[in-house]
Amino acid sequence: MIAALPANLRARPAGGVALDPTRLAPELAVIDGFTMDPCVGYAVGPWRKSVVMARDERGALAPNALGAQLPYVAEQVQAAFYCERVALVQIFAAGPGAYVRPHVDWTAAEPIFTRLHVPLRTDERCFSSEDDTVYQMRAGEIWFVDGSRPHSAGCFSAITRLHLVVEGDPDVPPEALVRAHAPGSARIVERPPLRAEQLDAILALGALVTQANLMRIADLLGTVHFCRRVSCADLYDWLIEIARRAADAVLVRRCEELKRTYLAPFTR
Amino acid sequence: MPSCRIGSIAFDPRRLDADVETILSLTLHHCRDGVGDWMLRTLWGNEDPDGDGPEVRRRLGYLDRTLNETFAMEHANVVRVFAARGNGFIRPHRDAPQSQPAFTRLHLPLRTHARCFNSEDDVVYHMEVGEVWYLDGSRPHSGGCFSERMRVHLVIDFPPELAPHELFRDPARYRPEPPSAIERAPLLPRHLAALRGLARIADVINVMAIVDVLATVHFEKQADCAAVYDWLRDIAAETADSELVREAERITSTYLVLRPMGAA
Repeated sequence: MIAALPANLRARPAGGVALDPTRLAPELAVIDGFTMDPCVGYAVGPWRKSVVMARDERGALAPNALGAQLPYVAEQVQAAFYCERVALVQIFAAGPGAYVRPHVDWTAAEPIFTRLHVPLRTDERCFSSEDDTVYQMRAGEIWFVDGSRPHSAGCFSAITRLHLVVEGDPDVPPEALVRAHAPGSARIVERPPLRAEQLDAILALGALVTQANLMRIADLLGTVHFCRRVSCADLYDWLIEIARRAADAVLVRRCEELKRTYLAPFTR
Repeated sequence: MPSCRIGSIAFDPRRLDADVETILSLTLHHCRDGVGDWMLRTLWGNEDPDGDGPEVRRRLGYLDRTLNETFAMEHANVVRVFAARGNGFIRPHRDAPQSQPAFTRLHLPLRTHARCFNSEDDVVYHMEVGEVWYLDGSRPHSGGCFSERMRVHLVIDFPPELAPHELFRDPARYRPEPPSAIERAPLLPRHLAALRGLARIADVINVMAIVDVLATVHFEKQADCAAVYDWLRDIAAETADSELVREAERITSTYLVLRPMGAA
């Protein structure tokens, strides 16, 4: 559903890049051939990233060896963003089934960077979420993602989702990074509510949970909010209750620690 | 022939440890059907995806010499390492049908501990350092490391025409023994109810996440490693979601019917 932005959604579209599919396609194929770095910690499945542009020794944004293979993408970055305010440009690649566990990056008072996403390749089974809202970024849209809110994203398609991720210093507001700032609408994903029997099925995993499978259960529960109307952060409370039902004090402590780790912000 | 221990090697612990550290200094690659930290690195052989096979082989001089002294390495196709830690595992699968084996595979644990398991059908077992194991890729099998400590197995693939007893230079070193099964708790009706209850939250979006939960069950409870796919199809049928039913069938076929050679 295309809708006005929900009042509680801090993520927002900040503009757009008019991508030319004909010129973009060969560079997407080049990106598919990159050996990219795994994302350690929050990512599940084939979630990878690579820096393609960074500030050089003179402080100017310049492509590195990977970025040099993407002249059209670099041209779009130059056209759409105030590059003197951009510190880093990365590619995030999410293969089939890849997603990031719901997490908080920082407090609103102390952001670590200002991050904008530009989907280069995506489809109807790629989602982003913040609290209890699931939304979709369309190719070419420029989106601000607020790392101070619980958020997640995933690719549940057969494609590899590719996002260009443009970062500025934390004191630069997102709109100040974008040359043609243009607020837009959002594609909000309607989801049915989580019914009582579904919550029962989740909590019944207390019969199966062990130290060996705890993170696999966490990774399953982290996907539920993409299909059901709950907050992405709810999984950590579910895990604590599952561990309590297993009557395993060590597991309970581990689940409480997981909640702190993923929902307490980093500090600078 | 089912997987079994077929011999032993008296490694020099100090020199083995040095070579393992060299292996762990290489870039290890997560593999497609691995879950969590289940990683693969081709060291040398007919495949050289990292483009450094000869150099890696030179750096692993102790291992290379020991393998050459023990096995008919001139016939080996490829030497790899499978490394795992932190609850990383490979989904239960078959590598090839029994009538068309893809390789004759040996596993040599180089670093392991008591929380490292392999499984085949309804047996879970442990391979120890210094043991030489034949692994039957035609049977449903899996492996995992349920500790933060790294498990490192050297894996050698020979042509499928070579039988395990033909791989040793000294035929007297071929001494097959069946694996000792690890005791597991029974799978009780309440466990089955919990896993079948996943039908209430199953969706094409989370079907692989469900597989990954189900796939861990057999390491700790008495179940066949391939049961994961029966449970998955039951769960999908319970949802009456035709797309999910098709996806469960596709996943089952991918892992149990025939799959390309790769990480196992």
